Amino acid sequence: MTAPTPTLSIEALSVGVRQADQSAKRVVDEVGFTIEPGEMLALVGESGSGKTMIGRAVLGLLPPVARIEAGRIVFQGKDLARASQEDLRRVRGRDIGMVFQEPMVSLNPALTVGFQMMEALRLHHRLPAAEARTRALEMLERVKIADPSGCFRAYPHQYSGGMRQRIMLASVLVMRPALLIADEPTTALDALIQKEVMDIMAALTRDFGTSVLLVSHDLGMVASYADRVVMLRQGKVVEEGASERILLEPKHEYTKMLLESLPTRGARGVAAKHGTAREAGDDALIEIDRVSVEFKKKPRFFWQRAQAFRAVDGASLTLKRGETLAVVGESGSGKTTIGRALVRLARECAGSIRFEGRNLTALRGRDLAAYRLQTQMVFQDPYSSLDPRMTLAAIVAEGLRTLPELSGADRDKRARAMLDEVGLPGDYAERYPHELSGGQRQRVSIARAIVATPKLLVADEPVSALDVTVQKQILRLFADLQRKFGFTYLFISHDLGVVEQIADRVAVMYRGRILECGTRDQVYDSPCHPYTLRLLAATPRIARAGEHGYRLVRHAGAEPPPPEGFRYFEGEGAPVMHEVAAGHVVALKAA
Amino acid sequence: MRFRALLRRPNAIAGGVLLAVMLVAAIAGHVYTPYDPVANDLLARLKAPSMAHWLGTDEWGRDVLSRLLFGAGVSVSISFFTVAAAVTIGALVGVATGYFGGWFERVAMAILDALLAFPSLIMALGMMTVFGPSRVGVIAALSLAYMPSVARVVRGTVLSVREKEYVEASRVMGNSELFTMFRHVLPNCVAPIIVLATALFGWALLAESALSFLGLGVPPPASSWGGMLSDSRNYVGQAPWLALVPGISISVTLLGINLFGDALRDQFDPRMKNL
Repeated sequence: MTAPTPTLSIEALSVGVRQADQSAKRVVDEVGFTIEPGEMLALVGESGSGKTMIGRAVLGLLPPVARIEAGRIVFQGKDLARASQEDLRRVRGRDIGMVFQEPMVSLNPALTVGFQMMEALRLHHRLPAAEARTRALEMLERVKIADPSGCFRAYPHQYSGGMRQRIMLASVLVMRPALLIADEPTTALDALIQKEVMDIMAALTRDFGTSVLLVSHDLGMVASYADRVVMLRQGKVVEEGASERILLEPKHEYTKMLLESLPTRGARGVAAKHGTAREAGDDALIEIDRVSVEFKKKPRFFWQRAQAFRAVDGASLTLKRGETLAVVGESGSGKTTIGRALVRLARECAGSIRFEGRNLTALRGRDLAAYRLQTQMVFQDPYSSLDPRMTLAAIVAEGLRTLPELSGADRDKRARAMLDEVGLPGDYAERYPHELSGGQRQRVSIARAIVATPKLLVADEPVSALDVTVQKQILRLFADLQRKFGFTYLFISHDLGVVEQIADRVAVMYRGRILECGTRDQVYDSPCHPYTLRLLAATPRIARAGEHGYRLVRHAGAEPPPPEGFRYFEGEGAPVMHEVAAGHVVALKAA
Repeated sequence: MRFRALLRRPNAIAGGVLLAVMLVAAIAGHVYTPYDPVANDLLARLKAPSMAHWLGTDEWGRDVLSRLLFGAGVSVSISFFTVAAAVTIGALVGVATGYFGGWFERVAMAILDALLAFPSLIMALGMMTVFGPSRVGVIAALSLAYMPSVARVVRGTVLSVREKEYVEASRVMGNSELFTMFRHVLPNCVAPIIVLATALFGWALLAESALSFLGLGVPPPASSWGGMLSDSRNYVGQAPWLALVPGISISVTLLGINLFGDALRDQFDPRMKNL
């Protein structure tokens, strides 16, 4: 990879963002790197590292408050940092393509896929319509869209996120750009889809000789796809080099710190935490027995009967006191709905949920309020889970409102003590949510949930929106609180790495059904169901190897043969839960 | 504490001063006026402003300053109570329909949409024929006419706020639906309500003048700003002060309300606290 002229070379680029007081803050500080033809270079860093700004600066798409202060962006002999809008427009789309993070909003919903794909071809290459159409169709085929000519006439809303991202990729690559900028292209997608899209992107750009500037925070993904890595921190380049060298044999302290923060499998399990081994099945806090939850779709006309959609379909789970049960699955698998049913935000239409032996279905009024003190929830989005009009002390104190024996002063005192407990001491109590970072907000959310010392905590993707270093702190907080107060956690996540670190037991869900459930080691080390295997294989992880090095772990292997007369349950009919080992069940179906 | 902080905003001070002047004039006009606001003096018709009549006289020789001061109380109280009633009822209806949804929402919104379908002035006219020209009649008619648009705006905001996770968090904590609605949903809809309320205040001032013009507002000879403005129409060429005096008063009051409303909106939003 030593071509005489690189595709893109960025030299001492600085970008400033205007602050409220009119001073400029440098978010990109003298960053320089080159991308060779056909190379995939990844810009890696936490939020605020300036990685997205660099990608946008190349295309001249910086937000209005940001400005290039110094440096050059040389692309095909031209300096894009000083190019006119007219020149930039000619380069965009034709020579440099961009794929954005949110596939749901990056295609125009009012135009057909075909129209959007041909638009650029006809604009930049002045191709006749028929030829543009042929090229677009050919491209859709290459991104593995099943019915290209049908897709050509369809509108974006008819496709899922992963399909849209492939369509987006097709409409960008149909121009055969010299450079593709992909800004967190798969962050919004599920693990299996993520792998599909990345595989297609890598294969196509390799075939076309397109250079790729990949902006990402996902170290595992970067290590498995990128050729080279530029590690950024607060706008400065920390380290640069071949991805294996940077990510598997890190030299710089910051890179080491990031890798240290990646979730790892520690000594977990109920026994490890409490020092006393307990028999499986003893002292169940929650028993979920063949529970189904339905959502009604709004009928088109009011005289029609509402159609029901089963988000959870006959799922059974048991939570033992003091353990962490993780529910993993892609979006739409019903994992969140199970959690919501436990805190009574959703109601089951069949089956039963028992809490300490009491059936929840019949709980109303006072009994329901009493139950709610026993279960609390930590939400996913730290930005919308706190009322922006309340101080932190008031937010946390509200968790005690339903305890009548406490005075206002008592509540305030306990709220402050709890904020202290989660690492927000002193005058944090008087602040408002908008003054906090994402990680701090999630701490408030946790404090609010545990201030009335519930028995069960449902955590719905509590660390998904956070950087790895912050994620590590929050996971540690969860573990510390569990040790101290003996909480039982239902931990809902799509991130297998996080689950591996925190869970005692793991349940894998798919389309409302539980496909496999067992202890963490059983599910990760000897998975049975093919879906579990696919999930594990789609998630490359960087794991510690020896004293200083790391290695890229990708689960490979085949499922064990199912018992005689059965096959693995794949979606139709009703599954039979079969116990393959003590406490390890898998969904089967009579063959 | 909040209100002392409010006084640090230049908008709040300017708006507050204008509103204070207005209020003083409105109260003063009912206690003392230089002349009797309804006494005719046909020898002093359409006199330009002078030392005797600071703001001149109208076509019946009545003192414009006295009528302006007296009218201030009438106009401002009508607008104030109209806005207060429309916003209170509209916000409650809007929050309830947006938050609870279901059949209640469908029925309530159907009624509101039917009300919205009438031009508000026509509806007020209809109401006035029932109530007859009086202050209370004007207030009832205008607030009923404006209530549906407030409800619509509030409902729209509620629909987005109720999806926030802090609303769900409140339910999980065992708070009742009503508590959640008043503690978490309504306060987060305040910004559009205040903006709408300031706009409504201006509309109400003008609508009152339109009703007075049609003979359905405040019954003559009592004065109101709207009435003065519409009476001045025939004499704009000869006596421009007749139109200018109530016109400027209305504009300045609106300016005060808008400035104060903006400051209030920012003050109620903790995210804007330090701006």
